[in-house]
Amino acid sequence: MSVAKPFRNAAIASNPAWAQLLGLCPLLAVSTSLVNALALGAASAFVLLGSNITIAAIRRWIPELARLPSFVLVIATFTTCAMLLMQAYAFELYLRIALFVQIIVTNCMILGRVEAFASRQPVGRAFLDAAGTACGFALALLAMGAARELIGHGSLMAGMEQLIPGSESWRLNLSESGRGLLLASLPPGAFIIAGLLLGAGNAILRRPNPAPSGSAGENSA
Amino acid sequence: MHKLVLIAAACAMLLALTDAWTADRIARNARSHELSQITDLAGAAPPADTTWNEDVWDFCSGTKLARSSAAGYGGPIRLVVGVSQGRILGIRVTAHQETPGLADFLREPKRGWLAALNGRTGPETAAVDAVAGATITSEAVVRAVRDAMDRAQDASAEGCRA
Repeated sequence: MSVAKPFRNAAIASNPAWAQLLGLCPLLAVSTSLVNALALGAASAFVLLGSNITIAAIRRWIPELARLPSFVLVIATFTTCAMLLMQAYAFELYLRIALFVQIIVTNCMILGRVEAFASRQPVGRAFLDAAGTACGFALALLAMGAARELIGHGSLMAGMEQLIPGSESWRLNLSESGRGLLLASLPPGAFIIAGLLLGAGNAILRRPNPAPSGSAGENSA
Repeated sequence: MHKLVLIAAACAMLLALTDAWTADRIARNARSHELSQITDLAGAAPPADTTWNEDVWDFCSGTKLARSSAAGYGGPIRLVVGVSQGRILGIRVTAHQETPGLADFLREPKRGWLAALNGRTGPETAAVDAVAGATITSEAVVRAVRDAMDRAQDASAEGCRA
């Protein structure tokens, strides 16, 4: 099996957001701007990679009966680390999306990947799967964030300097007033745009069999 | 089950290390955030030699800041009030644990409910209706604001040598 296959499969074919519809709560809530989306994408990636690798490394060692508590413990640890690191290096941004960084713990996408993949696979493949899932989720977040910021505020990459120092000049302004279609930044707009992007993704990928492989298809928290 | 204890211990160690690594930086960030809120409230950067004196920060220009807290729905709500001639200049909530979503208005000092308090004297804040669904939060904010204004009024001007 090629090295890229688990990665591609996790990122595109079973994209956590668009194919499995997991992690929709943070996806819809945080994606009001590109910088918010990028920050949450990075925090989720950190937690996914950390917990997937850790669980895969100690998978033979985790007591079967206390499997889920162990997973949640590891995920919560990495989430708290992500929170502390964000407070240390992106404080202003953290204040805005704090709640959604905290509830990464309850994101089924992460518990799902750990239970369905990392706890049964060697470290290398678990890493590829986590990287793929993280990229897939970040891709969904960034698409949503870009679309909503563009339509809702008429700008792109506003406030990026909170995450990447010296990036003030990256900002694109399409509307002078900084106003756009307000609906896009409000929750109903999030649902509408998510639906349109989901439809567009399905049309482009034309997956013959829409059923995702592997992980639990339960609703996301 | 002792394996679970070991996993928990390893997790605790990782958390302790991260905390030790980031604690200074986080405290610094929180301080500079408070300072930027104060500058924003008073319309000018505070003089370098002044600081909180019994929860009042006198700018010696007629503007005073006072901080206070009151028990809200989920814990203490801490805020800073800018006061000028007995009237509210502005309010900044610096820390709270109220229900996310319902209490989002606490983060928007320049519009909405918090802005409606601006320009009022302490007793006049009683005439402002509580936010629907967040009555306890709103009442706690009003209590803290009135307490802060009392402090600002009581503070003597002897700190000002202008």
